[in-house]
Amino acid sequence: MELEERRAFAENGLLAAADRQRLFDALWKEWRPRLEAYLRSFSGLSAEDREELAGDALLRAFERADRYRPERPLEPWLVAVARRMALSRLRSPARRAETPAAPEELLGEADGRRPGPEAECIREEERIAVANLVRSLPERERELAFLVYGRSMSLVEAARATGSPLGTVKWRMSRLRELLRRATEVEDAE
Amino acid sequence: MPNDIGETEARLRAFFASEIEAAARDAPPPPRLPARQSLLPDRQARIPEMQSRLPARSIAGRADAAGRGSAGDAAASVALAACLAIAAVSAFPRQAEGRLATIVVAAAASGRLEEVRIDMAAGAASIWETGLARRSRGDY
Repeated sequence: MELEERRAFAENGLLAAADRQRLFDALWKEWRPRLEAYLRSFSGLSAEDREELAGDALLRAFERADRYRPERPLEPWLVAVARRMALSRLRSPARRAETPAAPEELLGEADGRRPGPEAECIREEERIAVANLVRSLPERERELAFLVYGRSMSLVEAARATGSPLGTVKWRMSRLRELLRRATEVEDAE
Repeated sequence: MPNDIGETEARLRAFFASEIEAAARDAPPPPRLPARQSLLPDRQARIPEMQSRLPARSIAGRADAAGRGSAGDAAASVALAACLAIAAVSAFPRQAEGRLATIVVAAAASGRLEEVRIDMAAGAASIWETGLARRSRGDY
């Protein structure tokens, strides 16, 4: 997203209603799927939660865009909004009484998705193996894997998105790479 | 499964791309934006919700229906407002926070402490969800 577009986002409150709607539609198309995919990092959220939260987070970010600084990348800020809303939902008293989704349930849900054209290069069994690997990661490392590998964020941007100190993110990244290396070695041994 | 970490990382990239693509395929159409200021519950609608989170009795006693407290309440309000202002200015010396402190002083001195507390609760919730407003921050 170019600086001018980010400025328009930050100042959307000044736009005419039709222009504002047009800008929101474009953001919805571009960013909502990314936020929904990001929210898969939180194993306590159901598919319905993720769909609802991705839309709500985008609406909230759009409504409060005057808090965004357009000289900075948009994605870490959007992710931070979605993340906080997800954590608020997971911490709500009603939510605490529920049992979080088990990894097996998430596995079945993901496996039911058809691979699209971009993923056609991955053979199905490899896809399932990678899905299993992602799900075997601890939640924070899974989140970091999405941001760094799925969204090509730098560690500084990932730190901004997750509200964590850069040192913590570097440590998590080295732990993530170690987990990936171990998983690769186990597969090689088999 | 890939046999080196570089290949594993490439597979992860492709996997996440397919997740995003699947989410885009199943995405609902964008909603129509309501008129300005109506995307989120307005402040009036949130007041009962905020009040339910507050202690039953305010620090300085309940203001009467006209929004004025007794002489004792007013004195307590001014004392509390002074403490809040000193704390706010010490913690947040920049201009925007200074203005916040001024608003707290003015509102608290008039005996409308409940409203001040509700505003502060709403402000804290807003900061938690979207961060501080741009004009309230320095460059760091």
